[in-house]
Amino acid sequence: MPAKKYKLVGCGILLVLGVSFLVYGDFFNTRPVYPKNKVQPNQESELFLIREVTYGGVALDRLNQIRQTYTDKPLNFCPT
Amino acid sequence: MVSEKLNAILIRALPRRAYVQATFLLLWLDPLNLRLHNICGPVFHCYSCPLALFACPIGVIANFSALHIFPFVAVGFIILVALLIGSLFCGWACPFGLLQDLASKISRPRLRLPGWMTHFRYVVLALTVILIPALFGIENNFSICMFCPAGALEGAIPLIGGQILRGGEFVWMNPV
Repeated sequence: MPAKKYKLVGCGILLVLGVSFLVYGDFFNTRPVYPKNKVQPNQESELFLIREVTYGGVALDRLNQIRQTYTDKPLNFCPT
Repeated sequence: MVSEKLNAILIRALPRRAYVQATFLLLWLDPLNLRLHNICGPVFHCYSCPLALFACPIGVIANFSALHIFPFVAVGFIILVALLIGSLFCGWACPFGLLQDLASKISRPRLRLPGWMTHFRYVVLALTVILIPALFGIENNFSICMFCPAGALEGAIPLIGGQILRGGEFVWMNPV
């Protein structure tokens, strides 16, 4: 019986953790992208997350172009 | 009680598992061209496949590791799917599971691996999905996305096939 209780408690903790991660990532873990034309020299290549999963992450390259990563790469991108 | 009933249903459906997997494959292949890559899928299906509905959770984690960002949504989603559905998806819905099942039908000498090798998957996860992308970037040859069999089978081959069908040049795409 205690084993079942511990299993339930563990499942509850995981459930809370999973939901918390989802809510935090979806609604709070976002930062604005630095304005494209106002990049300071020391801010080149700094990563900015605009929205999790949707854009993966955003990097400003040396040409001040916004380089989107992972899920927003072009259709013909294939790492392998 | 619920799991016993579910097990009984699954045992009865076992002979038709390939049909269930094939039906799910149609779903993952994005027949409506929705490309919901902002959502992490619960299966091992490379997002770079031209016919991928969702983003690959392993790919998302590896890419976020390379960016030194914790993937809250992807990890939260994986925790919830693991908790609510368990490994049911791996055997019944994952397109890579279907490929493995089909490959297992090929007659060949079977290798018997030592018992400790079952834990090797955690080493692969820690190294190729988290540590190597975090330390050396996603474009390192030992990052999971660079040698992932699902990426090759579900991403590269359909892309090259599409190129050939369109009468284009045979090019093995590699962004590096």
